[in-house]
Amino acid sequence: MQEATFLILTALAPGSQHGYGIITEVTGISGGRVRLRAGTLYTALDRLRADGLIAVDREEIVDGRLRRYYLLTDHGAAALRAEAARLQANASAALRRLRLAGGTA
Amino acid sequence: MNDAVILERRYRWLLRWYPRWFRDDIEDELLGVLMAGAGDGRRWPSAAEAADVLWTALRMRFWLPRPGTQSPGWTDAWAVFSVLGPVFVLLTNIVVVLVPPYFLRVHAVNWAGYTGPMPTQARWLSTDLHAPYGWKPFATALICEAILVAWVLLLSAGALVVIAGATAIRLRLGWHTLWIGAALMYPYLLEFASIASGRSIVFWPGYYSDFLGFDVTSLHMVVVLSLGPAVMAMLAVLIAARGRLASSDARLTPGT
Repeated sequence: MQEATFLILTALAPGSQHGYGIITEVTGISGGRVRLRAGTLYTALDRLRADGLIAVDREEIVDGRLRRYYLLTDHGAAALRAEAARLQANASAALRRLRLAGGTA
Repeated sequence: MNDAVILERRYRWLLRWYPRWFRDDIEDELLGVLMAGAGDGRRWPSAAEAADVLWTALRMRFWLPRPGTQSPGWTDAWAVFSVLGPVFVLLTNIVVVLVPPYFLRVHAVNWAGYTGPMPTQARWLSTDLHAPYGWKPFATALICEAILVAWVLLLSAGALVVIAGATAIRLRLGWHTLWIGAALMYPYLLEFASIASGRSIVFWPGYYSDFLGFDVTSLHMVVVLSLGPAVMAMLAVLIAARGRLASSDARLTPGT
């Protein structure tokens, strides 16, 4: 799973969000390191919808424009959980080995 | 005209780079996000946003069919094959066309020099004394040259249809693109099979060739000449129609 995908799914984990909300959430989650552009976001959202990882929760008209709210599907939540566990396992292994290296140095 | 209106107009122009089906689905929404991120007083899209829109739009238009969720490895493999196969056919046929016009000297020299670089189908029509025009070598050579050019044009057009179909429509039906690729490869596969079986399809004077024990007649030649392009054209239409429907379904149903 690419980092942008992981961060988008993470942004949607607590509840549904609209496009601009996802961008600000991702910026916050990544500590300002990742700033999604609108084009990148919407092509990713299109792909995630096609893969069934997210879905449209509801639509609103704000200032004359359509605003969609996206939510994580069960399939998306499972995929995010699996990816988070994988990253956590890798990070733990890396830290453990670094400690080991520090102890033997 | 205030700044926001000018900026919106320019963003809309940028968004035209996306495929139509994508714009129809998200243009309004995406425009809202772009405008919200632009801030006040801006009249031009930022270079970073413009580059991002252009890059993602081009990727969407020209990227290979996206892997499916069921068997991404195979889908990728077929997608690559369906693009590389037609490109291979296109290039080899261009090479054949660029071969010097043997027909100018064929009736005075020999058939082998003319028929050597030709596709199997054209060779069938040209090299047998019993072929339809075999008794007039020069006329036969001209007709074969015309058939060869038509064949190359058909294959080239087919190759473009496949490439355009698989990219511009952004097909998600990797499996189906295989069959168009296979149709384009068909004459080559036939020739490889004949070589592998130890029987040359090239005709010797005096009789029609047999292929795996099968007597080849002029009717068979016509079928062979027309079958590949016909199958190719039908599948191209089928894939275009199904690809469009699949795209529409995937995007017009909220909650899926």
